[in-house]
Amino acid sequence: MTGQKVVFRRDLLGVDHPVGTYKVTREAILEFCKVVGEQNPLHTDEEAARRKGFRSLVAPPTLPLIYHPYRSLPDIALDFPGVMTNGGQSIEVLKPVQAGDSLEVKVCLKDVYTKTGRSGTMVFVVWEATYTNQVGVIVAVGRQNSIGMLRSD
Amino acid sequence: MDHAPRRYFEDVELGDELGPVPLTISQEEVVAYCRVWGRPIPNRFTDPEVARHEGVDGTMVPGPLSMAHMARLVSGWAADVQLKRLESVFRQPLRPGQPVELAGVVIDKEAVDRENQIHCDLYVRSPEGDWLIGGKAVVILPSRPS
Repeated sequence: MTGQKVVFRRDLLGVDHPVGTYKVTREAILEFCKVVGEQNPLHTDEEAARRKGFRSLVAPPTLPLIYHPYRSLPDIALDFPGVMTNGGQSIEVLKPVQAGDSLEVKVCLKDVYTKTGRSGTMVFVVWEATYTNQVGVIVAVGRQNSIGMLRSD
Repeated sequence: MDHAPRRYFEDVELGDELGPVPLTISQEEVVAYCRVWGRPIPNRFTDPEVARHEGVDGTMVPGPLSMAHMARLVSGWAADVQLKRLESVFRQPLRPGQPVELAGVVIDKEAVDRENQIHCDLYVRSPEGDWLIGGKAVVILPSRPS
């Protein structure tokens, strides 16, 4: 099983795929904080955020992940019969996101590869999402590794 | 009054711990997160039948929701902390209603390009010690005022 090649649309590697533009609202930030129990006043108190030099509420650092384009990922025609699950994610915050920002989201297929371990051969699909604000600044970059187990024949 | 202790870069030492804090993410919280996420309900995270139909063994907590809690651990550790980067590896499914512990440890500190960076290992583990989620965080702390 080592070195097993995976069939997929290699022409999609490295190609940016536009997903959409999303307005980060004060309400979305407050609801997010309520759901996860975030109490940092930078995210929940507009006056506290302004005292720190921000114009409005600051989004919690993982909030951009709610704009992750799980439905908008291009079909890479991966020749894999099993279930793909989320093996891991990352988010890098380059600039704080604030209420009122608009985030343009693009996703790019970065890599597809296989690895063989004790439990068999796994296929990894790596996506990268970039989040760009209304003045063209990339404010966050997120990566997701989807993992599936290849069946042995 | 600060929501978390005031910590300064100079005061942090390798081996300093974040948490541990107990955490149980309910199915209701998973549903609420899916609404914020914009994910149509029911889905594999909210409905066991949908999960089974999609080939997944039962509902589980979405990865981004687990990451939101890991970020909250950092946020509750220091009043003026800035989370610069958070990475997570989902080793085993975290189930709704499953009691776990959220914790971390400082593994490095360095000033990079005038940023006071603290590097932490974070983890979500079961009461039996199983490591469900592993994570790494890079956070920035202010310097102690002179």
